[in-house]
Amino acid sequence: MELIDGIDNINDLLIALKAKLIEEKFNKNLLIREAFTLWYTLVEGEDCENFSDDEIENLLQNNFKTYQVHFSEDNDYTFIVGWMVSITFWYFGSSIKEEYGSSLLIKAYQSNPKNSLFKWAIRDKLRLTNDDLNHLKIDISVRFEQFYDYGVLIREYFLDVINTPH
Amino acid sequence: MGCLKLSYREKNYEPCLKVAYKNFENSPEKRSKYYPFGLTMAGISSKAAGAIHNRRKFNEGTELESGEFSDGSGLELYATNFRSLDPQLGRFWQVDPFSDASDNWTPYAYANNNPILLNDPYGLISESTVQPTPVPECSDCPTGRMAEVKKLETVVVTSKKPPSNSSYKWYQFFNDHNPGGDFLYEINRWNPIANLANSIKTYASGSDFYGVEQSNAEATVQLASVIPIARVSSTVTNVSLAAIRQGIAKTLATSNDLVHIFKSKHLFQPLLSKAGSEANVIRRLYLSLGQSGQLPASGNFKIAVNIYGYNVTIKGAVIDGIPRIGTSYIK
Repeated sequence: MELIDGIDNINDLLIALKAKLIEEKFNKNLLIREAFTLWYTLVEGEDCENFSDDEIENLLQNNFKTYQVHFSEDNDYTFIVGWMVSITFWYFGSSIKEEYGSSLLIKAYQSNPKNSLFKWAIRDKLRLTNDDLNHLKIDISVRFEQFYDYGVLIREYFLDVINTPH
Repeated sequence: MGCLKLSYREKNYEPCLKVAYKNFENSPEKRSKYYPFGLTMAGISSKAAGAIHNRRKFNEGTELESGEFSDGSGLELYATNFRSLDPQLGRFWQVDPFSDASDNWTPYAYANNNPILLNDPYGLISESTVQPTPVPECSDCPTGRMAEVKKLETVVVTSKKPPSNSSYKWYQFFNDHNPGGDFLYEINRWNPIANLANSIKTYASGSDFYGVEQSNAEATVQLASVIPIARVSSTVTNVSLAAIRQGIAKTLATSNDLVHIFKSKHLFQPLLSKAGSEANVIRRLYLSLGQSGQLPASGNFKIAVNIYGYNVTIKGAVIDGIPRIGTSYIK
């Protein structure tokens, strides 16, 4: 994974992930990184010379099907799919609604309530106090890798959203 | 002003709940009496003939769907963003979308069956109405004070009212209760006299009547909109205001959507400073989508708009006729 973590360019990162996944089709770590990278490319409008938006959307939906068939009970995979679906459910097929994303986030938290990142993601439902939220943010910021260790892109994204006031 | 006596009592204590609201500054104060789940007590309160019917007196300003039909009847439901509350039943008509996380309550329950202490303005999450403010005095209440419960400083059962902050403009009351937002702005956008006055004010002081800083170029655009042909061009839109309002409400109801949109990478800080709040920016984004004339009937979109002089890219999709913003950023 160190090799992949060293890639800054999104296009190169996607190519490297695809190449790795040909060798290890059901490597959860790679699949989670691929899912997030594809989604991030779509929502952030990142330039990607080797992939059109339609291709990326198709790849994301294939990754989503892999999750549903093989990894639906995995907490980490459930969390990242839940996050992506809850924000942009329309990328995951016409039958997917945003409530499905929320239910996945809740499921991930219920399976692992000690994970501060999972807890923060459903802070609306838990009705946390400001103090609780601040403690969560600090906890996640200080030891993010202990809660979710799937590469630089995911870490930087979540550290950014967690520290966004709301 | 009478009191709503509750059926419980404590030693030497007789609670009295009063419900009061003000429409806006300098208007006569009005009072309403409710049963706990929001059903208005007949014969008193604002049922008086000739009174302006305020439909947003309960549950943090949730609109009461009432009297829609020509015979005077109506649905008599409080329409939250996600579900309809029947005040006679004290239940929502629809299942809680997040019922998995609230397994102590029936998925039809309103405010955890505790409508005195809790609200549910979106139909998703019960929110506390308890505010840590001094208990207001009340001359004709038995205790000399308004509603009070042990261990809690105040029980606020008023509808949302403008804070006492002197900077609070009267029209912000409408904005706070109107998901379409920016009430005065939207009205005056079609008013050539207002546009003329606004552009002059902007030329003179650098900011418009809403306190938003504007450049001379933006003031010129406002001035141009006084001319009918320019106003006609700005009305071109292919999506209804109702659909835009639904999109706004859904985005504002979800904290995860908001932190995703407003994360620092998207460079919204200067726009936030001008608009004043995240809610105002979200409203602007959606309204700009409607005005762009580029929204598809359904499916994904990526549209560039100019808001307060910033080039903003908005990505999202139109789902069941409702535009939804997934991401937006300034580049």
